[in-house]
Amino acid sequence: MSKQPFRTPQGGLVQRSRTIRFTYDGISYHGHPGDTLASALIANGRHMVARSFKYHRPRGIYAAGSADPAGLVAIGVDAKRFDPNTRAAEQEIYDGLVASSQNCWPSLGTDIGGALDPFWRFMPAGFYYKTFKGPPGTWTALFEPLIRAFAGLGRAPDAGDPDRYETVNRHCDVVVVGAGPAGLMAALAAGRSGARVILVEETHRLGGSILSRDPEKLSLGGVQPAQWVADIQNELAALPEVTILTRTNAFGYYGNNFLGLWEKVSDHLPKEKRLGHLPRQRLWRVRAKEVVLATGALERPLVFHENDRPGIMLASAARTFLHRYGVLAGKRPVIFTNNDTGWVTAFDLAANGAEIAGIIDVRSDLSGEHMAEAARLGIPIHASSTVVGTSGRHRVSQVEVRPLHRDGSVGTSFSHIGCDLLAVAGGYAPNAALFSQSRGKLRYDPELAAFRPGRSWQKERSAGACNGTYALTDVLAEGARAGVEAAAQAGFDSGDVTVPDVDGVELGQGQLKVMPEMPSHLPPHRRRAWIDLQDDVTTKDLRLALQEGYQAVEHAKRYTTTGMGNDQGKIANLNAFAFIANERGEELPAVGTTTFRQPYKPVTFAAIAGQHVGPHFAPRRTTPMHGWHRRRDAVFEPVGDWLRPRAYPREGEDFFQAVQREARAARTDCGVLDASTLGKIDVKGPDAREFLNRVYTNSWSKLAPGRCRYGLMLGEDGMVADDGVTACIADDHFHMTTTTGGAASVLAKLEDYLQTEWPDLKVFLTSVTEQWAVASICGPKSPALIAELLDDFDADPERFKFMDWRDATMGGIPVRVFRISFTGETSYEINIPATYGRWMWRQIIEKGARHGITPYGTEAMHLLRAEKGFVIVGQDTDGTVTPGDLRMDWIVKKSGDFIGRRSLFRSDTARKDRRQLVGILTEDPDLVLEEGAHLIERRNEPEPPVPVLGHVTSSYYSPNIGRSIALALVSGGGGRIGDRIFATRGGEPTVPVRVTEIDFLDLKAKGALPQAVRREGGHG
Amino acid sequence: MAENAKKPSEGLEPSEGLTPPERRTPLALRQSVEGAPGTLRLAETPFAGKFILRLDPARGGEAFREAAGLDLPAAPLMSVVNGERVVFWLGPDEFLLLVPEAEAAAFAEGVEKGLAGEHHQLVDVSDYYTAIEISGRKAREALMKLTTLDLHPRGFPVGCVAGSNFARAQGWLWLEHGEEETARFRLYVRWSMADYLWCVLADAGREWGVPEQIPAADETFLTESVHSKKA
Repeated sequence: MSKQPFRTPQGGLVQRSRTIRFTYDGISYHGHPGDTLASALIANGRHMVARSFKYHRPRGIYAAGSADPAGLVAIGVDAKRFDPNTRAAEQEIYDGLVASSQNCWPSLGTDIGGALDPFWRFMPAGFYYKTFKGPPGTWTALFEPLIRAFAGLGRAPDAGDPDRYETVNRHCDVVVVGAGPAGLMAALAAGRSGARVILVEETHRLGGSILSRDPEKLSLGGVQPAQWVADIQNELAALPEVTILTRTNAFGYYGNNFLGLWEKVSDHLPKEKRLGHLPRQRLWRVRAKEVVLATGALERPLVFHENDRPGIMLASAARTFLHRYGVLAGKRPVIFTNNDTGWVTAFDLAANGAEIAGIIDVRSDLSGEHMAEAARLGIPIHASSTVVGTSGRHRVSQVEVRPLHRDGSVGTSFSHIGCDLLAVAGGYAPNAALFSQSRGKLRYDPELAAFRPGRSWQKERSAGACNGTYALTDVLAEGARAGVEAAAQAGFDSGDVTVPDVDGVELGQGQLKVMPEMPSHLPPHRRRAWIDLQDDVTTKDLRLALQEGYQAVEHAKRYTTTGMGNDQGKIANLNAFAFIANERGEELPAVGTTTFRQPYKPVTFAAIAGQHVGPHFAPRRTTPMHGWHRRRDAVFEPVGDWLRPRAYPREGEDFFQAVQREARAARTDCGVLDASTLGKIDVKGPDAREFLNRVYTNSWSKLAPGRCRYGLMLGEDGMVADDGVTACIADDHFHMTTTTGGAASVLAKLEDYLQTEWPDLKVFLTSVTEQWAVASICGPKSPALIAELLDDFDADPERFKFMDWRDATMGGIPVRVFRISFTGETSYEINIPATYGRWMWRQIIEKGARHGITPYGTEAMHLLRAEKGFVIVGQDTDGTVTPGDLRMDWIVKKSGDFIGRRSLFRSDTARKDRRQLVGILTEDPDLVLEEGAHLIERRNEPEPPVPVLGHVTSSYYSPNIGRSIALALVSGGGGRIGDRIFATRGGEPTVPVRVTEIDFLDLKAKGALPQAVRREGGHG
Repeated sequence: MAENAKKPSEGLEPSEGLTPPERRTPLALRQSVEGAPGTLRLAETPFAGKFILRLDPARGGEAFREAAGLDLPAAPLMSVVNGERVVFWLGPDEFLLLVPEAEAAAFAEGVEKGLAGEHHQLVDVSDYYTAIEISGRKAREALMKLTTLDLHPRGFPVGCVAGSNFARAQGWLWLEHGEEETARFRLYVRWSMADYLWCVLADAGREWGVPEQIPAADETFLTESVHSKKA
């Protein structure tokens, strides 16, 4: 076994029989299974692991768990699997673990940034707001990059995350957060009742604080603590409705008893042992009927000059390292305390071979029992004294102690004590973060000098130390009670739950003496007493913030950054509030606390995204003909959630050429479009016509069975919301179509109207969008093809007229055929049950071959409809366009109400200069305007603000018109037909354009296209 | 993408002829997949007659029973089974009817006739939905990775039906059989989302050895406007 100089000869819960090798900053170390990176490094005599945020001061391990503010390291070397800002005290070691320091350069030991430290006086709170002033732009160009290079923590990984993550949902009766003595009793009590229980433990091991007690001095129900925990764990594991989640942090307590749990499934395993079938991390989204919070208490640091050196740590951490990990945090420790727990720490360390260099207690009235024990062990006692300074570059090596006077000053006499560890015990404060997140009200307890849970808001209760109950016997009883009560509230009976007898020394605080800042012989401005180790906030910074008017805790927090960052001031906050209260001369409850927010600790985005990444990000809806489109190498585009072919380029053809070819073929021969994605709604009931009259702007009273009609739907604001063709199947039965993107929202809106506004109408709606596969066939040769495709069908457009529809069969399969068009050409739309869609499409392609069938995509479809001047809702409209703006007044009925009608008579919707849809033709026929291009009155753009007439909504090069075409919304456009205006082109000179009617096919047929003016030298 | 990941392939096209009407369900190219024995199995249940019935059960329930040979569910979120005919409760006046395909036309005709005097809507949605059968003792756990429904036996007993989101797709979930070892759900999902849901379900089952399934629609997009005229 390798040398681990600070590993105790025995004790601790690590598996000593096996050795793990890992590296930190390139140096190889050994540890044991069960160690965290922090415990293993300390076993190897290493405390310093990081540099601080602002001054780049050396930082060591300060706490033994997730509350540690300072011991942040980076894990991994792989660019894809590099985890910055990982707490050494939480990361379990494994064979081959590679950890490194961060926020330092070139190395942790000799960090250039550390040169900043002597200038600390010039970097007061908010210094960056004050110092870095200059001409505009200097902040972003100079100061910010400069500060970012020095400040901040960790760096982000360089490559995409290759691991799998997962979110899981659960409902349960009782969630117990924390598996310490209270949580275990609660889980046991609730679990025995048969309730569904989830027990959440942040570390890999159940037991919590009792694992940090000397097992020789404590027994529960007659057995050692670890055995007691194991017995309960076994019983819980055998209960079918109990789930135990270790390595899981309850990071968020949200409304309606909804909790977010973050499970690290395989972060503790070497890469080769991470099982591919398991996610790396899981996010549990749990809805609980009842919650028991058993999150324990956190020890408070003591605030004194130079209290930030590596080797200075919480006394509770020293006990945890000793009893849980078998590691002596120091061989010659000094204990600095304001309560009795510091003394117990000293005795525990002494019993395991440490030579206690002194106990410094700020109190004068000390426990005789402890004094006697210390005397027996030969420990020097400094009663009514304080530490006034420390030294030691990378680890504390000496403390300076002075006597405390009654008046709050310190004496002039001092002594220096050599040491390798300074354990500070500032008293315990309930960890009420989750309680507070749940909206519970905190209550100040003067005896604890801390806040504890007061009135609950949600269905939860706190038990044990997080409730301010510290004596183990009481903690166990309170946990059991909480479990019984939670189960009962959820409807389960726990029966009698026996609380084990506790035999051993209680870890009592005795009389606590809290001092917001230790008195010092130094004047306040020369003291460097850290309140927040992570954010480098000292008492001087807080004092300055208060002086400058940031008196409220929330303001002082933001000005100084105390309690911010990756640890959110878990152990710093209470000291900060107490200090602010003291400086303001007020009581702590009057000053209050900052808000506890989710998450309790940083959760990876990967866990939040879970499995919904990459190909599983969102559904890509496809039609039954999708496979065919793929094989034809279609270029796709997303339309809503749908994936639609945009064009089908042939070998040697680019996208533009393909679109031109497709659009030509649709007018010269025969084109086919996969129109399956259009929304379809079956409308049925005796009041169906009345219903349509109310939802569309036009009248449906006289539409006969077998006929179709185009309709516009408005919002209540009078703006065009959707459009489509609706067919009359029978007097009480209609087949409505909507836009592809609007299908879901239109159905929801119409159902809403039926249920809430018009419950008297007897109408039922059902979506049939995906029941039908739809092929839209158009072009002069389409009637012949239709006649061939369908069984005994007369497709002659003279008899099967525009806007007719018929039932028919195709290969014996019932289909519906609609004579409706989106291109202006002779068109047929065949609807066939979706399972036949692929077959139908292949029939069309095959039989259409001799008619020149050309499948076309959405781009050609958009172009074809623009040639005819048909609008696309959502492209030519944007939610601010009325039917009048589209110059479609003909579709608005004169009498009878409909959704949005009233809004059409508002002064704003009735004014004459509203933007109206017009055609736009460039004088240069080869020039295609940009969609969105602004239209202005004059050739030369005046100085801003430029008066804008409108903008281009659709723009194409049309092979059938033989020139570029565009649609635009232009102020008073209907009255401007024939006008010459100008279109802007980003960065280039404006171009003259002509305002026209929108049906370009009609203009061409009439010979009414304006004279083209070709550019000199043609076009490039 | 793992090497064993399966993406459906269409294979070579048969020579085109005057082929008889041929049907294909959305998951026709997916083979059923399974994890370790008994844990989780996914399979498509293709080709069943499916109808949405909109009807006020207080007014038409009796007539429906006579015409269809089974009752409408008496309680929300429940189903009624009679042989191969099944009715799901989807809403206070909305039901999904399942019948064997061969009986579908006659069944629909009978229901229409029986409800002739009553305001109702019967819509054929046989091809609108397909069903994915999710079975095995891990079926509940796998589904709970994708839905916020409580699928614990206490929250979702045999015969229960609920509509919800499964991952990012909407569907109707029915627990057909409930013994822990043989739990068998059917998830009715729209055609266009079936492949997506199939793949996320398989992903949820990877923990128990279900092979990875890659969505068929993995095409890249072209979203920029492209309409410059080339000389």
